[in-house]
Amino acid sequence: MSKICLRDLLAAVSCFPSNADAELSLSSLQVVSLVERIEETFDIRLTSRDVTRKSFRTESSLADLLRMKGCDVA
Amino acid sequence: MRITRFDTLGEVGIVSTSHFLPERRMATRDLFAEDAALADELDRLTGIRERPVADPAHATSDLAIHAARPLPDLERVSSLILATMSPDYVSPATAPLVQHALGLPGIPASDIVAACAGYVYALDAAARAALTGDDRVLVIAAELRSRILAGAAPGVRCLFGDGASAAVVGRSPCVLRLLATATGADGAGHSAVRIEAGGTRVPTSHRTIDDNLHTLRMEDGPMVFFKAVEGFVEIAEALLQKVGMCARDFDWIVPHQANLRILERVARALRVPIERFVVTVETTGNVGGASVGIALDRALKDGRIRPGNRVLLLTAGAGFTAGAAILERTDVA
Repeated sequence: MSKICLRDLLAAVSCFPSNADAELSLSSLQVVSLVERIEETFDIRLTSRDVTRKSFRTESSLADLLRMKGCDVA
Repeated sequence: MRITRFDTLGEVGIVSTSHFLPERRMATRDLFAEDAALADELDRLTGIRERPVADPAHATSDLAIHAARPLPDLERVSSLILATMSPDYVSPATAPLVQHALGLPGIPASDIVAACAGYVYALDAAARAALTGDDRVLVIAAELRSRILAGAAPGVRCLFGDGASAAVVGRSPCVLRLLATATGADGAGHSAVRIEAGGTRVPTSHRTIDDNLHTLRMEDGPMVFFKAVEGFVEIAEALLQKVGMCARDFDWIVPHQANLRILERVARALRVPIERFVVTVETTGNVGGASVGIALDRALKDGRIRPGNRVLLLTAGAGFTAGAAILERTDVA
């Protein structure tokens, strides 16, 4: 299975970071919607421990979280 | 977490129920008239289109009194427990005001502060009182949170509605027999949803007013969202495991009306279709501790909960607190 592009998932919740370390500044709605998309795409469950400000601060911090959960992200 | 098998202790349960919602309604678009896009986003996030808002002349005790007055046999009530996190005053408790207004002189009256789990905490305490000698215990959960939201973030302001629910708890004849309860708390999360000022930790001052510390704060909405889901699911699973049941064994699940997306996620986690949940949140908003009692009363009165039906009450709230109760509808009209 090819790697899933995290930037596509972010775009689906109207988030378009200029680079991997740019602040995402997601609203609560975007975070909840993004979590639902991530769970559906990777068939995983995220918990309140995963959904932290630190993990959802930038594209690269989010990618780190997902790799830690065993997801193959690009 | 404390789990109690009331079915092994004797017949006890809910004798009658009622609720009160203010007539005045506030749509999300009216709440944020200056920003329609924000209102639409909040509608999508919460599933709450409108909420009841109390008359400016009313306080929490007024809502509680309105909810309790229609209940039959109030003169038999021998104690009163009122759950709220938006009391009339920091001190004294709101329950004595309600006791006086209802004409129940002399009986014990006290508040329980367990946020959105307050109704189940109060039900659990009332059932214990009934089993140890009280004839009838009046349980009320009342919230007037619109009064403590001025200056709060939009994502918090949009959530809450005002209202109250009430129930008389006693031994028999019960409309809903209480089979078991679970109550618990995770104090590690106590600061996630809070009113910071006005207590002894941060006394009220000009600074706390200027900084809006007297209003309800919830700085990390997504974390609270997922923590709430986990609170619902964990207490349900713990209780159901203890009694050897699963969520699909219930005809109705009556949850605290946190918000629609939380309830949908809880339903998925418990592997129960959302259609089996009693949902009022679209038009009531989150009425805090009162919301589960409002939903229960509606489902009883509109005939959804029929004799023989098993009902699971599920709540989770600030603190973090959580409570669940298993009820069985009897033949009593």
